[in-house]
Amino acid sequence: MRISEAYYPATAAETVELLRVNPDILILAGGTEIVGLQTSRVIELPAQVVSIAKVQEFRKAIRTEQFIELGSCTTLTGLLGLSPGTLPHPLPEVIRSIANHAIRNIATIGGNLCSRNRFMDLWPLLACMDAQVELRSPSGARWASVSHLCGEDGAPFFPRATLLTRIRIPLYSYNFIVYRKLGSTQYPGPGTATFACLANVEHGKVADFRLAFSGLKAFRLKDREMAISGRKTTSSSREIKNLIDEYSRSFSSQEWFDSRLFISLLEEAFERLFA
Amino acid sequence: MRKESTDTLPLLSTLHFPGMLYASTIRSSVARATSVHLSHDPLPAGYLCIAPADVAAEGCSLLLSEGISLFAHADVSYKGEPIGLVVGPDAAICDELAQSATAVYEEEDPSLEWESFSSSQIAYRYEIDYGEVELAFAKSAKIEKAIYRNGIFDHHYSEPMGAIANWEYDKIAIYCATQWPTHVRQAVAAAMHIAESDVVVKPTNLGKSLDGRLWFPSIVACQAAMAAKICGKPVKILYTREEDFLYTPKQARSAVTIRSASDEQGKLQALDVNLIINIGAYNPMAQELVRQAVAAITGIYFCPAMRLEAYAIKSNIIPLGAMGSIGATHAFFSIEAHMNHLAKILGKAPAEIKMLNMMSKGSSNFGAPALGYEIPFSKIHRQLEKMSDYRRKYASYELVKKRDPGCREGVVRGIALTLGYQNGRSYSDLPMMNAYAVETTLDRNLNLVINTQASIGSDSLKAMWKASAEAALSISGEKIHFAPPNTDTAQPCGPLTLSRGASIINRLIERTCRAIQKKRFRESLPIVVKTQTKAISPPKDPSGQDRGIPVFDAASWCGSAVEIEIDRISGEPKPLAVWMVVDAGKIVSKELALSSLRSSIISALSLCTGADFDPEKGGRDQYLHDRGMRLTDVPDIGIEFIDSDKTTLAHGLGELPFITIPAAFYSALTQALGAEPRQLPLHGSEILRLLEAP
Amino acid sequence: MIIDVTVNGEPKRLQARSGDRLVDVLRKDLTLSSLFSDCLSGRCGRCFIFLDGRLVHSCLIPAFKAKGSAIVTFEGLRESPEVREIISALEKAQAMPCSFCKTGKIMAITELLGRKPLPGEEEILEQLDMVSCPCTDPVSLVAAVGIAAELRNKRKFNRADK
Repeated sequence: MRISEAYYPATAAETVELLRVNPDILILAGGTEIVGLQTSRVIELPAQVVSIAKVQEFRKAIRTEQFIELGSCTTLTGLLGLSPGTLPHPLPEVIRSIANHAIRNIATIGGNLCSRNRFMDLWPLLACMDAQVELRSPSGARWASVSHLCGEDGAPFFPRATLLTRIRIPLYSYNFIVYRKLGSTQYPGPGTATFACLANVEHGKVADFRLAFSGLKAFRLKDREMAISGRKTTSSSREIKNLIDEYSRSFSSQEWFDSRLFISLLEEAFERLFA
Repeated sequence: MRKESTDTLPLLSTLHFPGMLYASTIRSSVARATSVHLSHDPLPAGYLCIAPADVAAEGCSLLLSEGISLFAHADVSYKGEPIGLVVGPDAAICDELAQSATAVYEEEDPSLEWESFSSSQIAYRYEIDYGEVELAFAKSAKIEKAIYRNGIFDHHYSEPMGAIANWEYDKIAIYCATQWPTHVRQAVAAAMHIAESDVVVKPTNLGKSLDGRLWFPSIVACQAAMAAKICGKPVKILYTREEDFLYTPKQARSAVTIRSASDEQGKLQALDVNLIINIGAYNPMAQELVRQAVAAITGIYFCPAMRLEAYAIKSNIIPLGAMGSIGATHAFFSIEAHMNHLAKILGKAPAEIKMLNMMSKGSSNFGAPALGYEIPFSKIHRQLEKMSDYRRKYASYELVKKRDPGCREGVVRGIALTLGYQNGRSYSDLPMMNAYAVETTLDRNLNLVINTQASIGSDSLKAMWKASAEAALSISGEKIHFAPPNTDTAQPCGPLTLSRGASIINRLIERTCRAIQKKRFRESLPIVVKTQTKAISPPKDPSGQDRGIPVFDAASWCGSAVEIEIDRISGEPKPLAVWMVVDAGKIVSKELALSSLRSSIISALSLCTGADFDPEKGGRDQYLHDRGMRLTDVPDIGIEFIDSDKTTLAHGLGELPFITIPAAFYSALTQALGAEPRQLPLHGSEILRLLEAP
Repeated sequence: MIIDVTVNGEPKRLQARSGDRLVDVLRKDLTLSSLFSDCLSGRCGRCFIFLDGRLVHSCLIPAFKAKGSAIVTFEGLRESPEVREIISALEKAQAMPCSFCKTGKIMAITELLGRKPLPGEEEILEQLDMVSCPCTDPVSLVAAVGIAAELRNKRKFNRADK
């Protein structure tokens, strides 16, 4: 299908109005996912497309003592250009590892979270950080957890006729961070997945433990996280093995990624945490 | 801005002619069929679909001289095989129309099996039976057998495949990037039923020659020529990058079974080898591919008795062929892997087994001419050990493996050395294969013009040849030019010119320059000197049998060391460092040689770390995830040159990385793993599984 | 559709079909021969342009998205002192890229030196990794960028040759 109309709204309100008129209209920010996965000379796009990359409201950044709030159309390079210390660790390093500099110049943080086909690199880290997203639709605006973008079946979920406008990341620091990316750094494929594990270790105990893993689907066990928080870091190797086994048993029913590689990631994280 | 050198050939992408049309290829959606009927929706004005019947109606042939279809009509041999063209003024619209065309097939089950095959799949067969093989096995203290496999890899050419056909006055001019312009001319003339003198091939910029554009460009050129004839206008075919990736020839897959008989010390008594190369749907150079592999199968080792069966096997996948070294990569990898296996079984260091079995001066394998000199093994090995700190590292990594077999702690690393050689010989019966010719002219303005089809080579190769001419004639490089390599005027060369023949061209240039130098102050200008190699028959053994046998004349030697580390999380092997010691005779320009070797080493490492292309899977995903080695992953590379016999001759060195690096990489991997996977490439979860195995 | 842009400082009206990539429109409409429509996936760097001051793969930009943007291509930069210095450096280091990737590499180096006057080896390799071509080895390229940086800083700070 070919575009018959392209819209260039100037404000968020105009964009939402376009959604109201056509709930299935395609919202295009950087477009790197939609365009990047097409290799024919002519790009296939729906008949009606909205280009929001230049809407100023979607590119602002606000920082308070508790959080940083970013416009969804802030490019990844734009995020790296914020003054040092603005983004919580390890976000700058993670962003720098996405694709290449020229792609980061057009790819946006909102686009990275809104993929319909798979989870991209930022989702597990932002999910662990309890980041929230502002979703606007013709019926109003609301904030939801980044985890809300994952359906019950673990697949990406994005509500219809909705626009992701802002991302809010709490400025809570963690002293234990493991972030690993497997597979292609440029083009996500079946072998690409991202692992994030955050915690705080205080007085020999684990606090605020979070672990998320995503690729074609997402995997997270919040009840396990709560059980791990409070454990001593001097847990025995048998206890660590039991933890790994619990996770891997749950994961093995997921068929979207090689469980052996996932177990390697778990082992690395737990060995470092409980060393 | 400095003016672009006139020696730089144009890019096909940039060429445009008035009224030129674009053509997109309609491709088969099945792997095998006995008939094809093409159909399409009504085309917009100005667009035309060319089916095989239209080509035949024009009196053109649908077959290349080697029996390869230009458009599949009675037989489809692989999924993606061209079955027609859509021609029109807009390339993007042509693409869409080509993709929407449909075909009805009488489909058959494709032959995808190749390690076990039927006789109808044999494209070429070669046998050797030399010495007392059975006796040697009967008496042997140690018999070992293993199969070694390697995968399919893309060449990553700078520009996708394509061709332009344009009627220029009384001739049809073909523009394409090819390593063999003469073949293109012959093919187009035969397909169009016209005289070769009515076809002129004007090669475009090939970039780095990787032996992937030997004969396939002739097919595309013929298709463009036919379309130009039917439409009465210039026609350009230019594949998209994805199309080039999915449907152009790649390095062939191989399976080499080696059964060895050796004594208690590990000295080889006999080899029984079965070598199978999967050439996909077809490969007109199957003979060369197999014979080069056979010639390299004993590597640098002496073996008194040998039985060998070698096959090029057809299967219903894309055509497959050479990459960087014709056939030798597969063979060297296999024999080196096997020698390391012997070393492991006997509890010896790999270097010890190599020394024990090394060919020496006067020795000969399966009836070949005797080796006329000592292989510079010791010198190369010593220098390589020093550069890489091999002994210490090898011993350390062995100790780590003994203490921690499951690699639970610490790094997982390995290091290995390999020795190999490259010669300038072809083993084919085709007279053109060993043809090299150069004509050099010193004109009245004291410009030196080098006329050879070899000037399709890369800028760096031409820079080396220029440096030779500069040295021979003591004139400035700015006064040296290459004549356009078109087939009407350039001296013809065979397909191996830019791979193993590059040093031969260098020698011919030097020879002509020296001849000019002698005449320079005695004769008036211009002075023209022409020289060419004599056609060389494949070497024969003492009984007069034509055999694919190793020949070491004009060979260049190298040792490569590769150190790798395995990522314990992802299982991916990462090269940490590469060292090479090269004995290639006289080095014309050290800087250029170093730069060229570094680029080739990186390409060779990509064979080890890249993805194995799966033609049955096809698809956009493979294309999007395929790429050569990232610059940030390129390891430290150390290269040194030696000249063991102080020769004044330069020998080729472009193939040396492709011959030795995969073998060294594999050996380092086996040390790191403590297991022998017997294949390349090997990735992530397979490696983790091997690490975990008891 | 008609798309109003500025290209190399001049206002232009581009004629594009829906679904056209910006690289194809620029190359065809404006015969900007430095641009190649090659990988169509943001990997080869042969379609590099500056879009509103940012280096981007123009094959990844649908033409309609460029409305109102300022585009600078190699043609607009080739006579600049920065590009001349880069070309001189590539020649000095014997690292001149091939015809396919030359403009892409020069654009990438131009952008890098514009934001990092003294880039480190890792940064140079990361930047040039965006232009995938086997023609030049990385050691020579890193040397070339170092020379270009030196030439630029000499000119900017008016330093005499030693």
